[in-house]
Amino acid sequence: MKVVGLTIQPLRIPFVERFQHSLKDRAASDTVVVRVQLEDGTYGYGEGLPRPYVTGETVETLVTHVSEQLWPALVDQKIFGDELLANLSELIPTSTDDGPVRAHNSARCAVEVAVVDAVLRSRAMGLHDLLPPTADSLTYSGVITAGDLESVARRARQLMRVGLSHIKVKVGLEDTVERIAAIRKELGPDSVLRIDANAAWTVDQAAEVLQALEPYNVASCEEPLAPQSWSDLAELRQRVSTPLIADESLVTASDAQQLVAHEAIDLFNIRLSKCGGIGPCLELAAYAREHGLGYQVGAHVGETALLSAVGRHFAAHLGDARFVEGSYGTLLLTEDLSRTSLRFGHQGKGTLLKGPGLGVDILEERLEGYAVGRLEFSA
Amino acid sequence: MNIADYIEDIYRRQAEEFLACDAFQQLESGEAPREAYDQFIGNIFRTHQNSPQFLAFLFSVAPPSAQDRVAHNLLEEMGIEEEGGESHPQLLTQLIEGAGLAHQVSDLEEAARQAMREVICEPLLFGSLREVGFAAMAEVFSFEHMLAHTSTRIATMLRRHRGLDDDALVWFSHHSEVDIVHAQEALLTLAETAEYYDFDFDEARDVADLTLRENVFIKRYFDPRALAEARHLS
Repeated sequence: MKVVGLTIQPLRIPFVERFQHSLKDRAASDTVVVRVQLEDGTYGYGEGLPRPYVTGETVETLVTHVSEQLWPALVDQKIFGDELLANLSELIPTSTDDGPVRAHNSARCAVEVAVVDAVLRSRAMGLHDLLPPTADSLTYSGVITAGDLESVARRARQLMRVGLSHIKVKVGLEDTVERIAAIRKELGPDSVLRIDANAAWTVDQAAEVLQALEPYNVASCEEPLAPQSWSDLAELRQRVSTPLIADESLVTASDAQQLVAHEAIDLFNIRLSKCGGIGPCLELAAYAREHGLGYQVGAHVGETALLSAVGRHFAAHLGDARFVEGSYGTLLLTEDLSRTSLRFGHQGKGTLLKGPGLGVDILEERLEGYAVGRLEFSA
Repeated sequence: MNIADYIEDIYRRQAEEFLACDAFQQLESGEAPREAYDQFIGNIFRTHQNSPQFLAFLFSVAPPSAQDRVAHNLLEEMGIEEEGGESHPQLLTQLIEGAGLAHQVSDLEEAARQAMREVICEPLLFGSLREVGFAAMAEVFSFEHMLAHTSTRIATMLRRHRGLDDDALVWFSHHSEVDIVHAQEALLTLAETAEYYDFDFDEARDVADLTLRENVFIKRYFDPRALAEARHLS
């Protein structure tokens, strides 16, 4: 089985409302969809979300890397469906430290997922065959972004109305303690509340805030410090009792090794696009388990149904992710790309997907409608 | 403030936003190309094809005090409220045919069926029909309210810049300013529903806010990109 065609389409899908955190104020999803064609005519779709403040990638670097590195490495190569992920790790290796780009992970993710989708469809199989589920359903988290005290409290109430019990709050901009107090008051004592600082603090600031937050039972704090501050993170971990999650600090396998070597972290935030696709994410999860760490399956803001589908398969396969994010669908995007919604439902429940390939049918007319560019390659 | 006033305020703001958005302003100024008018007409047809089904659902969840009102609305929509009546989907077909777009009807009907399928398949955010019903009511009635305040202006625009005659524009006259009573009745039904199902103000407001986050008039009559532009999110 060979890949004989590849199309890259950067998309811009408007959000229903702004999404703000300490590193970014976003009003639309900048995502890139890759479509591959196999020699038997089967198509498959993948997605990557390049984030300069995470992997150093931009839409431009993604397009260039796929065009100049991944497509030439893949075209006309024989793909073995029986050991697909291992085969793809050889054909499309992860690449790191390329100038300002720490790793071309979103580019790799988009291509890997597209090939997986195509090969599985060609063999009348689904991703659930490749990643057998170990959970019956998933519970997704809601997110509260920046805003004044009144608006974050109102959003907390709304999330309660739809039954969400896992809530992540973006903090670090201002008034963190007041915001968390207001939100906890709305949520009551039973909701699992965690925070994400997106690298906003120094060690002392983080320690001070986390100690002040102890009365509000915060389940974890994600990326409190500047990324890859291994020693500082380890020091912070000694000073506070709140479990720490590595997000921007966990991009590559080498990052994972540093985090473990410095005993700097309690959980990994494994995100498909950030970490390079299914294969590398499975390896990160295995590495975390091996070293007694937990993990959450995270998502990039603005993921379409494509990565929502892969994230659901991935999280269901792992079965023991502490928290699961994503599948926001039309809660965030004004329109998603799939024929059937992948958005989570009441109480954040997401059902398992059973269809061929990724288990999601992409509407080409919507893809075309939101595309802001198109590059095609053929063998 | 009671919940009817709160929701009416959202409806009014969204109708104003619709009339002020670039996409509508271009149509009304006559500057838009003919395809933009055709697209707009097609979007109205598609948006309202499923109205009888939605009203039938609202009838099922309406409180006893509002059932006659919603039933009247439903029968009128289906064209069987009085002898010789025409269903609103038929009037929309009249609009399409009057615009010379009859060849698009089957595609638009299929698009409406797909839209209905998406609505039905989408996982429910709320936990019971109590909240789902109230949310559906808030969205469906938003069109009653909006059309009662804008349909004469839309019809004038289509007559002036797209050359449609009165026969083609009957659907708009059914929803015109004279239909303001319907819009007021819709708000009364919302208030009665909230009361009957024991919503307190905060809960009803939260459901309404979640449901009416987007301006569905701009989104459905134009497209999500026009909505993003109107809200400076593009």
